[in-house]
Amino acid sequence: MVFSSITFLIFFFPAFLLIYQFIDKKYKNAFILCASIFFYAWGAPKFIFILLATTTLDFYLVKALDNSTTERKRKLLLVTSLLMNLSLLAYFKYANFFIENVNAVLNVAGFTNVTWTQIILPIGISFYTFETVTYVVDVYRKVHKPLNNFWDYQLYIILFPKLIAGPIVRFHSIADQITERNETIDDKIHGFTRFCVGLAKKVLIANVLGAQADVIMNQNPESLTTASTWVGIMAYTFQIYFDFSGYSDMALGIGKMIGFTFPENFNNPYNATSITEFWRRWHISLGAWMKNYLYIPLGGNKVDTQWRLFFNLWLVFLISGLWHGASWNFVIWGAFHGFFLIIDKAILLKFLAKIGKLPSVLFTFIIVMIGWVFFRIEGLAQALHYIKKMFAFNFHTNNLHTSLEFKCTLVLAIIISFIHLFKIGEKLQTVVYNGANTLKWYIPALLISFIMYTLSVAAVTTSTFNPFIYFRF
Amino acid sequence: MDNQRVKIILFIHILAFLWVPIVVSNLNLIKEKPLHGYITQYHKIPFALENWFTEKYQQNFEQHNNQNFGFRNTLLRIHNQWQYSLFNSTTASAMIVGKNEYLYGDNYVYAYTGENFVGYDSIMSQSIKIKKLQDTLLTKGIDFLIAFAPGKGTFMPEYIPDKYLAKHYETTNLKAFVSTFNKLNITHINFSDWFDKMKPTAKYPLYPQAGWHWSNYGQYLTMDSILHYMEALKKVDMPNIILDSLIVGNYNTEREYDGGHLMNLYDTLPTYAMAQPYFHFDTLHKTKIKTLVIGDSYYDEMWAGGLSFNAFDNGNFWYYNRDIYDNNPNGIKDRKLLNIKQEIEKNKFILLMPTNANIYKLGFGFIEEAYEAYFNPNYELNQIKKERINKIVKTIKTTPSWLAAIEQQAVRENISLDKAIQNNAEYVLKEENKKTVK
Repeated sequence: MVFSSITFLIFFFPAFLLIYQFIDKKYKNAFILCASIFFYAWGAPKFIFILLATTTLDFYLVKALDNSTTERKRKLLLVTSLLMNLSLLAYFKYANFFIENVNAVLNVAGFTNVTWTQIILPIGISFYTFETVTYVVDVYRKVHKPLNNFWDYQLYIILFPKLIAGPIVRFHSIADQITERNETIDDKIHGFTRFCVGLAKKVLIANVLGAQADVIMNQNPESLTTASTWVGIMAYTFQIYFDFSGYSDMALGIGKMIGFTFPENFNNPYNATSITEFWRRWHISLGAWMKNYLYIPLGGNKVDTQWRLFFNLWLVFLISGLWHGASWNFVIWGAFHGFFLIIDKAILLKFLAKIGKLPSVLFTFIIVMIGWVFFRIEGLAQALHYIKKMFAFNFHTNNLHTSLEFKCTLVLAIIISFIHLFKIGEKLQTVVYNGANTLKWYIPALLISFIMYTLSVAAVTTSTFNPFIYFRF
Repeated sequence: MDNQRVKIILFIHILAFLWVPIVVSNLNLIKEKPLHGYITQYHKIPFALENWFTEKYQQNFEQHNNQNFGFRNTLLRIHNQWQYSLFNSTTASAMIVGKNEYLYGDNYVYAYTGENFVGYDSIMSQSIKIKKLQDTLLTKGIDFLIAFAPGKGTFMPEYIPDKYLAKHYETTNLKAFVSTFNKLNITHINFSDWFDKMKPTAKYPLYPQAGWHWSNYGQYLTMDSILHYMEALKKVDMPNIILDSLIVGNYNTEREYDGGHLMNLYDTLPTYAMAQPYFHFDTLHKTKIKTLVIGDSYYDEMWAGGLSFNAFDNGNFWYYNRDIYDNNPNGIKDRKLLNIKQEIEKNKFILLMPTNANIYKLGFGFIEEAYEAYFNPNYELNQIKKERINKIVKTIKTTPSWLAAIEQQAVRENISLDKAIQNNAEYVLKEENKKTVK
């Protein structure tokens, strides 16, 4: 089930909220757990059993790890847990990719292909696998004691607001909220307004931009003009931001309505003045995970040589790319960002500091946009062809016709994305995301939220309604 | 009242707001204005573990409830109005919103621009078949006439959005067919041409602003013209259309506002004054010619206006060469169940009348089937086989136990029920033939 579906918006969400408000405090966690299992099972009715089984095993492994007195046993249990979770991810997410590549090599060598039944990727597996890793590693590192209650652990993993698309919540940051959280009426109202902002970002902005991005970026680059390639990648650049950050807003909003505070996942990423800064603003919870559970174990900044530092950085970004999807284009995207991070550290940061904020933002934004080409277009040759067209400056024929809705939405997306560069934008964002706990703020905020919710539901339901003028026409 | 209490009331408002659609749909509190247009209706399937684990239940729940929650039609109209008022666009299928609030069906626009041009070879090959059919039928005393009804895109290209006009195509199907017909001396009428000539001087609108089809007035003129053409061709005195009155006003018939309805807006679209002709047929001492018409929605209204009944000796109308319109409530309605040759020869006149939006599929398969019937020596044998299969299909459908077994087979083999019935019927025929050979 996804948040921007009629099933969620009209049935699940209202029912969940109403029951949650009226049940006794001691049953609230059990209710969220049941609702989360139902939420996940709706779209993955078989895989839910694997998820429940592995989390059960994990819980007892980590408990044993915590009770272990010898370092050897602790390490063994840590490795066992990590192997189990990462193997599951490897199998469900990367097995198809691995076999495809093996077959490609076998083909070249003239051997018969390996026959293989395609595996369906269970939704959200990348997110909750990383969360199980944080649990076992945080307990191993003694950052936090493990949860005593088995059901609390299940709840941490399967908590539905952040289950499908994050943010990736580190165990130690939420552990106390599971057992004891303070719910306020202000949080509930703020949570709802945040949810509506996210829903509108996803449905009213990202979906509109996405439709145009698909039209352009699914074409053979040969038939595109320079202008259309830029419009296409601009549309995709803002689509992915509004889609993902919208989803995170919805997750944070629902979380807040039931007393959870999840970490922020985006902080005006397109205002970054360098790629290094971009990664502090984009998908922050993934960046933090990569830093704490991969970069630091590899040695972090405390390595002997600069080359080793660069290698570590690049490796982290290659893995980060692969985490986004089992395809070479994601690996290339990761490598691309890793490359710019290294260049940043070597020379670029000094240069960007000299040229000033706005030129740095523009430069970084263009680099990020080019990166999205690799992310969006499967196949290196196709992506490079697209980039070549972007810089071919061929304006001879302009066959680009975009709708007025797209143009307006794109302008709106640009304004929202860059307004934070200006003081008025900073103020505006503070009001929208962290408005005061006063009635003066609540009443207009709720009215606007109701309108955004209504328009979003209207757009979602209309997307499946394409009537024909005459039956069997 | 303190602030905390007001905040609680506000939160109750949030819950109430979220619950409105469920409450309204379950208690049937408000009757919404129905939506226009045809869509697939989803009916609830019962919960069963098998449905749950195959996700059929979830899929069906989403499809069904997306169509049936409270205020759904209102929300849809809000969205459509917002799209139209702010962005001049629509979500309706195959609809193009033109300049100055003129509406077009996309095929009418493609027919004008040439985007759906099928190519010279295909047009020549089909024209040769038509010529051979015309000549053959004429030896049997049957006239075969092709009448190209005009489309709105061709008649009113000035309101087509620029983006559709930006691409340039070689030619259009209409132009290519007319030119080939002239070369091969094929009898036809090009109403498109006639409408173009009338356009500057027509007393009343020939096309509505918010409809895809011609106006009732334009249709009336065409009916009259067809009758005169047939009279001249057959050299007989056919029934006349007598105009009783012509009422001019803002009233648009359902057909004249069909595009507007399909937009499913809150507001009504602007329409200019239209002329509504009221007429009757003078049939006294007149010769009615038994005529079979194959056409699309452009003939649909003529059928409803009584042209076939009053002037064509109660001849049939084959809608898209698929559905049979006749005045016999018990008659066969599926065209595929008929022997095309026998049907053609029941008539004295065959009128194939597509609008230019449908010329890319001229005849909707009629030409190919008729050509087969007259020029393929195995046609009769195939026809007998087809008729036998149709009979077996009918028997299967009326034998519950047989049908139930085939339903299970369809599920097992993951094919449609129709396909499974057809396969079984063909199998039975094959077995019958084996026995006959023995």
